[in-house]
Amino acid sequence: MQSKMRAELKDGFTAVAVLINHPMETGSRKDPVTGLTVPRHFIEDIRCDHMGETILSADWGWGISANPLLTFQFAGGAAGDPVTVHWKDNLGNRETIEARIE
Amino acid sequence: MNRRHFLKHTLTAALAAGLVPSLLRPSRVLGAWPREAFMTQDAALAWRTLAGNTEAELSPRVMLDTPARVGSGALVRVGVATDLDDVQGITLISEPNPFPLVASFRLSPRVHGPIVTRIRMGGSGNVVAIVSAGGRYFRAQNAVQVAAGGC
Repeated sequence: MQSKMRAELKDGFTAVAVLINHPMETGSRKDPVTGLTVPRHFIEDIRCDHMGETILSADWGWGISANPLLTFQFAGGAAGDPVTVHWKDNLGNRETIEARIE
Repeated sequence: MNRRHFLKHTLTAALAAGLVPSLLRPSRVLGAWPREAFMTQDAALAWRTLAGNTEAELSPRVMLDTPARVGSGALVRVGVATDLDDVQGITLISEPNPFPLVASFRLSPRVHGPIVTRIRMGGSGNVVAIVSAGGRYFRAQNAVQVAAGGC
């Protein structure tokens, strides 16, 4: 699965939905094949920007489900504007996801 | 002891003593992920570690949407909305989790309407949403029955 994002104008607000491809391992799950504990692996920082301004940012722990979903709305977006989501996990992996407002 | 180390430890000590307003908590000052709060295994202590000994009052102006019961705690949909003014942040806590602090969001004044995400729950218990608005804290909590824990 690839991370996906959508930004849509609805009733004058931009509705953002992002679905991130990430295992969000809690650090307590055992691998069913090896029996070994799978190390904790989770997104710790996430940020959403619109036109150089941060709309929302968050600190996450491993209590967020695997393949995290986040939806919210913000004021001031226009059709065609780019909206970006950046995240960083505890192993230093990063991803930037971008969508244009529809 | 370098300055950063000194600052961090001084702040942590001051926090423990309840001397520092929440906006000056270490994660804000140093911009770091709040490790101590996420590693805390007690829900009330996790909140105090994050916000600095402040209480959040129960408020009908925080609307928390969760299912009443789920088969699996691996994927529990949580929505938080509020009609409070000057909202700065939303914190999510799952009391039955081994590590109760789930997420802490900072919101620009442009954010509007509910924030929805999906969380893990280790068993049946309360989900708590705490909204910081106008320099104060307001909370809502819902009990969720979880048939099989997802932590």
